[in-house]
Order: sequence, then structure tokens, then C-alpha cells
Amino acid sequence: MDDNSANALRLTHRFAGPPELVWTIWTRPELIRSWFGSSHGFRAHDIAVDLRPSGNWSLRNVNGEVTEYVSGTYHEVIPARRLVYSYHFEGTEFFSTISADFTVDGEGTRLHFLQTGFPDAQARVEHARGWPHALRVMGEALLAMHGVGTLWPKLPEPRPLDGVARDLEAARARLAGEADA
Amino acid sequence: MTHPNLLQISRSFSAPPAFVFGLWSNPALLSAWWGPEHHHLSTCEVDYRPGGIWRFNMEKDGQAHWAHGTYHEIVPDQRLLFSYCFPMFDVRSTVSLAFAAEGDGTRMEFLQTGFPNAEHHAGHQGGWSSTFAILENLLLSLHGIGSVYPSLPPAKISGVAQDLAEARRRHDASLTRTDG
Repeated sequence: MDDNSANALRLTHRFAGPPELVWTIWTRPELIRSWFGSSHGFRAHDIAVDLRPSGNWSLRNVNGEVTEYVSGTYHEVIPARRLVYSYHFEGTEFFSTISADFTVDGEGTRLHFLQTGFPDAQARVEHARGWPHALRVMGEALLAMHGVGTLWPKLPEPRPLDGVARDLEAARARLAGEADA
Repeated sequence: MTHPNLLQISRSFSAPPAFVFGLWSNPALLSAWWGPEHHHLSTCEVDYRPGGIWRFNMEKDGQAHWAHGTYHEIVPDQRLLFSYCFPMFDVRSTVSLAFAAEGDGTRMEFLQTGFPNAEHHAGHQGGWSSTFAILENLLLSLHGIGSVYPSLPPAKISGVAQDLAEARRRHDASLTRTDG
């Protein structure tokens, strides 16, 4: 069945890390902070995650003078396999659904991503630009954790989670640098 | 969490999964059962594909109740996932349905998440239960078992039937003039 592509954004992405790690980056508040809104210069604050079906998530997304309140409800939570949740910009008609399916792909992870329900064409355009950027930030962090030629050539094992957050910070800073260059 | 935010309903229906799944797929079928008792769909627009929008008006005694959403996942005979918004009640939610064969019939697992308060959680619990009772009643009457439910929503005249009736009225009127 073909999508109504004007109102559906479908992406696939391969990560160089196992589904469990990709899942962590997707769901832990301290890690979400580093990629959420990164393509548009936003930084997320007050991230709350209640990771279970019917659990709510919320954050305050800030870029200079602009503050957006983004929230939603988790609908399906199958660790390292599938995440379905709503995604709402409070005070607007923007209420969409996101599903992220993770499968093992060799030594890495294949992500099938789908977002449906955009209030207008502009919102879809911005998300079609934003998600690939965010996925790249996540991917850079995973590469760094595997010691593949980025900022941290060799990382201690086992890695505490705040180390992952640091990698994400660095990946994001580097992407921001590339964007400015 | 200060209020129930999850509504889970498990029901069996006396028809195979492909049949029950199909009843969700187009306006002519949806209009036959959707909406709690005493409601009927006066508007039922369905763009049945991922990213497609649905828009219903569940009328009761002439009073409008608009709901809308976007289809997210459609796996024939197995799964349906869509958003479900009810602006007048501030409901923005997600609904998923899973259909599986159970003997000669179907087990349907319904899940809705995202209610603004306990009142609308309870309202939807009652609403869906009534709706699914009508759906089961419809399936039973198809089997010739007869109606176990007091009242089905009023039958709707299709657009084609309305056009035919209108054409006939014009035809009758022109005959009357000729005869006169």
C-alpha cells in the first residue's frame, strides 16, 4: 500500500552499533538531549521520559528566544525492537505518530522510521531535514563508542552512560562545526 | 501519572480476521457500526493508507461530534494503527488494533493511549464497548442469528440512492407538467 507521502515521512538508517545501544540513545533523557532538535539549533531541557505504554514524555526545546513545548505518549515499548509514540507541539495542531523499528543488521542496527500526521507541508519539510541530521548525530556517537577514527580513538570498557552522552555532545558539536564551515 | 492513560479492550468476534479487519477499511462499512449506540456517522471520510487522514462526525440527536486522525500502519488482516483526535474533548491519542484468528472467529486486541483526564478515559471506555457491541451485533445478524442489541444505528441512504430518488422526482414532475 502506497503512503500519502505528503503526510508521511519514512526513513531507513543503519547504525554501527547493536539495537540495545541504539535503543538507549533513543530513550534515555540525557542522550535525547543531544540530538533532539539539533538540526534547527535547538537544545532540549527538562526532558521527562516515562518509558512504558501510556507513559508520557515531554521536553522544553529552546533556541535563543524561541521555546517550544513538545510532548507525547508512548504507545508501544518493546525494548531494542520497536517504539511507537505520539509527538505533539503543545498549543498547536501538530499531533503526529512516530514508529521506530530496530532490527539486527550484521554488527549494526537497521532502523525503519515512520512519522505520520503533519499539520502542513512546511512541517513535513522541516522534519524531513531534521531527522536525518539527528540520526547522523546518533550515528557519530555510536562510531565514536566503537573507536572508529573520531574524537575518542579508544574508549574504556565498560562505558558508563554519561560517556555516551559526552560522545553525543562531541558529535553534535562537530556537526554544528561542519554546518558553519 | 494522575489519571488512567491507557485503555485496553480484548474482544472476540464471530467472523474471520480478514472480515473484521475489512470492516475498518471504508466508509460504507464503517458507517454501519461506528459510534456508540444512538450515534451515527453523518460524515465518514477515509483515506485508507499510511499518512491518509480520516474524519468522522458522530451525530447524536443532531449534535455534531467531530473526530479525526491519520493512519500510520495498515497490515492487512493483522494490524491497524492510527492517531485519534477529539478536539471538543481535548483528546489526542493513539489507537492500535491487532487481529488474530481464534477458532472460527477473531480475537481483537484494542489499545488506546493518551487521554487528557479520567473523565474522557471513562467516556471512551463506555463508547468503545457500545461500539463493539454494535459491531458484534452486525456480525451476528449477518449470520442470521438476529439482533441481540436493542438498536442499530439508523440505516443511511447512499448518495447513489439519493441521486436516483431525486432523478425520479424530476421525472415524475415533468410527466405531471406534460399531462397538464
